[in-house]
Amino acid sequence: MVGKNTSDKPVLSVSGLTIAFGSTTVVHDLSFGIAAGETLAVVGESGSGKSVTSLAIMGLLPERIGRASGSVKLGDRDLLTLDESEMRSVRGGQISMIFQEPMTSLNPVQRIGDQIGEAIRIHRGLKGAELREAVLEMLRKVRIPDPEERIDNYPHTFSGGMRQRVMIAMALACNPALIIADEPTTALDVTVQAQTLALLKELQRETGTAILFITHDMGVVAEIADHVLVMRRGRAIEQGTVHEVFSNPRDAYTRSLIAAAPSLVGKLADGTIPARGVEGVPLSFRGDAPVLEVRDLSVRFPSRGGLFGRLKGEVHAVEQVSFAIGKGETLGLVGESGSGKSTIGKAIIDLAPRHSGEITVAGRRIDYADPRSLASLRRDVQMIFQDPFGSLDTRQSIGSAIIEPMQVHGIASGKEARAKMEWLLERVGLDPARATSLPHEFSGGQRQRICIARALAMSPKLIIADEAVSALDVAIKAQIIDLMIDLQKEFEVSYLFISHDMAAVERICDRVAVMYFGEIVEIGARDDVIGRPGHGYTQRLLSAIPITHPDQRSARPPQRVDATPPRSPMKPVGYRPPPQSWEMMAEGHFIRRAS
Amino acid sequence: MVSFLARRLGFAVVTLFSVLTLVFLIVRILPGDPVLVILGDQASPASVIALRQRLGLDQPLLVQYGRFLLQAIQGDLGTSMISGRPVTEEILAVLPYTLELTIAALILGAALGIPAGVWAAVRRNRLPDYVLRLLSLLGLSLPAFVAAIILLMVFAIQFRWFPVISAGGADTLTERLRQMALPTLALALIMMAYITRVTRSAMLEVLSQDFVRTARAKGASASAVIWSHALGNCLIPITTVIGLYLGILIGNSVLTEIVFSRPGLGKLILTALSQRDYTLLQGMIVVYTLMVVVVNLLTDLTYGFLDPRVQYK
Amino acid sequence: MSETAAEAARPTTPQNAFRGVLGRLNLSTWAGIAIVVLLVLAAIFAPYLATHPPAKQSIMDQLAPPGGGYLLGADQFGRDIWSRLLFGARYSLAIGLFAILTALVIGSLIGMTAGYRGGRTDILLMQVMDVILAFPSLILGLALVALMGATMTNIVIAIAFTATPAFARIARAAVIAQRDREYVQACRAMGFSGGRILFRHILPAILPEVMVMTSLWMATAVRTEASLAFIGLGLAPPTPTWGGMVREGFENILSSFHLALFPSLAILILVLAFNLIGDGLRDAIDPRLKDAS
Repeated sequence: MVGKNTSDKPVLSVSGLTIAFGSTTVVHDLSFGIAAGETLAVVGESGSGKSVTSLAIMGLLPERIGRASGSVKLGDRDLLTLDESEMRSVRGGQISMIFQEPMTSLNPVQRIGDQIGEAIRIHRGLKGAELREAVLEMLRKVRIPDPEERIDNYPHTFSGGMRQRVMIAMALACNPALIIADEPTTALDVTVQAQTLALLKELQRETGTAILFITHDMGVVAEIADHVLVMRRGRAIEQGTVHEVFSNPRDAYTRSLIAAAPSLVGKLADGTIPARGVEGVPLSFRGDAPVLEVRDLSVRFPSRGGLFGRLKGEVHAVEQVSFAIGKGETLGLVGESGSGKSTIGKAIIDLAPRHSGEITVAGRRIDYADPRSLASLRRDVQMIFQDPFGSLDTRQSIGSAIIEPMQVHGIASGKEARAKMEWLLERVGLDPARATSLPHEFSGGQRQRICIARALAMSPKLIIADEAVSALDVAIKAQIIDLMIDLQKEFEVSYLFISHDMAAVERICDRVAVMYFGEIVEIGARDDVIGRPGHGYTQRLLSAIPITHPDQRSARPPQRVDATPPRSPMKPVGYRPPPQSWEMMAEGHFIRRAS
Repeated sequence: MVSFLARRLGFAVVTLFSVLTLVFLIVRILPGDPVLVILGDQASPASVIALRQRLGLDQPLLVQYGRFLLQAIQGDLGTSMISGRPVTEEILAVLPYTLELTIAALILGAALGIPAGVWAAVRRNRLPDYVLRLLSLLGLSLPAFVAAIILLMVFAIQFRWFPVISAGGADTLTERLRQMALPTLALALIMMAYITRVTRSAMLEVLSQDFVRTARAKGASASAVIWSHALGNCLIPITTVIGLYLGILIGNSVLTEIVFSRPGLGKLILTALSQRDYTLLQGMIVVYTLMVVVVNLLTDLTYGFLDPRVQYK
Repeated sequence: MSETAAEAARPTTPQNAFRGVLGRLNLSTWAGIAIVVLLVLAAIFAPYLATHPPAKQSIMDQLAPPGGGYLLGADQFGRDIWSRLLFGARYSLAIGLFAILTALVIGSLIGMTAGYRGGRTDILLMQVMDVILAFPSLILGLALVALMGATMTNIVIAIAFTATPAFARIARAAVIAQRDREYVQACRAMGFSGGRILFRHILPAILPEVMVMTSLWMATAVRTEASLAFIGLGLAPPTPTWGGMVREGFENILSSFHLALFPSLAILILVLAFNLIGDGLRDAIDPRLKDAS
């Protein structure tokens, strides 16, 4: 089953692999092979059986519950026939693994040097100074700065990206024939992901190890894979070289996965437009009057320490942010984790404290100290959260969840509220007859529909969608975005769409604002910002987004594998950031001028 | 780390201060004039006034409070109303007995409980697990005096292996150990029950975590995963719980001391209660609190060694 | 976020949870429930089940062994131990129940307020709770009862006092865990009042955990009451309390150990039953949480 262009004997060949948990079969008759130096991407949504497959190869299926049959050959040995002690010498020695969660995959109470060293000690038998030198060499290989010092540090002192490098060092420590990487970059920010992928590719070239790369993201596949295996509901539905699969996908499902990638990104327009300086703040919007206007919003969190909780400094989560949203318009707020984008949404609806700033909704300035002003804000601005499983009360029927805010705000009650609830459920594509059902009876996508219906119940002017589609699988995500677009037309509601997902942003937003360390560095019409990014950070962010077709691999600028520590948002008390100044690239397209 | 400890120390001081205040207030608000307790109902008014002056009870409450605090800081907890000896002296005379008993019970309980808990977790939902869970539940259902009485009945009265009364007067080390054995065992069995349970649950929690899977993926052996990776992480909750249960242990030591007629704080506090010796009682409560506060500080200090993340909290 | 993983981890609803929990209770939990029910019935119908009046002395039958005219023997005053145990159950159960209900209500209110409000309220309330926790609870109970006098009300107050911080802590931790969940944020974003969020949304969520604690603390309360009575700080004789019976029996331990044995067993069985229930409920509600109090 190995690609046609390799004549080598596969490092790993799986044939007829079937995995069952108890009486449920989760993987059916799976066959594939990987040659040395090659990367096979196994792609699928959650529940497709891709992670279970990797655990079965490692012999790590849950004891007494999981059973695997078929054959998993590493060289000439069938791993499924090995006993536990033989399997132990394979694990970490011949096959090693990198997991998704860098934050929890390392032992918090052991030094990272000891954790990497353990694998080397077990499989290569090194001890003492020799062992330490071998660990240092691995740390240098994965470009961890100051390895002599960092070797004795504990995992919590490393950032997510650095921890994933430690995991990679551990995986590579014994020169394994195969590395299984289970969504290794999914939990990372996009720029860190790009660096991690680049590092992995580079190390693969050096060592010639085979990689089984498990992911749900076709962009990552386009970046890194030689061969692709698409899985759905425990079965392989498409296999081939990465070029075959991307250029000529046979299965409709594969096509939908490929179509979900962002399309504007990576098609940067040529030439730069001369910028000119402008006065004031970039408050442009589409239409006659803004629905939301945010002026000079700053959010700071006190950081306390010492004996009596003395104020040590302030975390500047959001700094002098200004923007406006017109009627029926969608503004996308993008940025990496910690950029302050979610805090802005929370500050607007009073879930986070505002240090300074003016917020105006539909022409009325909000006075957060005035209960009446606050109540009108609660009606006019609604929020949809990321986690559709967490944002509904599990004990409340969905109908009652939609009616409750109407009652609290005296918008409707009794029969009228019921009628409106049923109508709304219909609008978001759910059967009103299921109003008495509890949230757990719905799927993730359906629950997000319920949350949208609940938000619309208040007839809001603005909905803040905080990573509202980020937790959903690709196909569901597209459906929810389409629903939001349809409802926007019907209800003339505006969205503040907070997301790190460029594909989603590109699809739904009219304008985009880019956040970096609490500040907006660029704002403008979608096509301008994504197509002709003016700010250095925006350019870096966009170039880190995975490509959409393997053909683009050569066209993109190479990723630097660097290790600059992130800037600290912690500032001394009373720190005043320098005033911002802006340059205009085009009508309504502004970038921050470097200070 | 330093600021973390400073904060905990600050909390300890606040706790001690609050307890001192509370004790001072309770003893003065409660019915029963201590002077009448000492002199009896038939005392002449003149002698009552004289004693009042001597005890400082004629001063305003605030002055009494200030003096009480000042003396307590210097380790002076007043003089016993009944025996006339300094309270500190009375307490220090019996404190070693209680300390040796509780510390021995703690060590024995941990030495038995931690391996038992690990074993139960590893054999989850199999016979050893069920047996250990039932036994530990039985152990923590056992009131200390019942445990003590059962041990007394079986090993001291029935088999006569150990003395019935373990009141001092032991000349040799063997005799001393023989006297300590049963009371220690009574306390240790209960402590073991608690520690077994918390070790088991902490172990189950840790064994399901990602880094355990990482360790297994490295090819580490089952015993390395359990004893090095998992137990290292369990020690933090186990320490917390031992710190918390030390209060129970100290309370139980009172009951055990009564059953075995063993000298110690338990017998002293009963004397104080039955004789309504308020100064002694007040002093003892302060000492008990001090013990708990010291244990909590030690627990916090232990975190520093067990958990590298603690300095960042 | 994987949909299947989240589906698997989905929380249960009250109706489902209740049925599900009952279905998942193991044999030992049912044994605990059966024992408690039996003992409650025994306490209620004590006058009908007793073979002798509990305080009736008989010089002839002092220290009578079990069997014969006395099912479990007679004590040093010739009182029937079986009958005294039956009436004693009333005191153990009543004191435990009242004390724990008091601690439950007061502690949960304090903990929920502290957890939901946060900030200074939280620090102040929990500081007070921690100070109470700093006393060894038996010593605290002992001191309170000794100073206030050993009446039923005072014993209830003393035990409730020692148990309150535990409930406050549990409630606070549970509320904080819920408070940061998105559904509570959603409620706040929709402008629901604090009381509405706390009582309509958070309280039902933390109820199962509070039930577990109640059962485990009933065990502790029964044990504490018995310990106090054993020390001599129980209800005054001739009231037949189990701890008091052990105390009296202990004086004759060398000659007639059955005097101390039967009430000791009674205490052990009742405490064990409450612990079995609490433990089983906890496992049934969340199989992952298997921790002692």
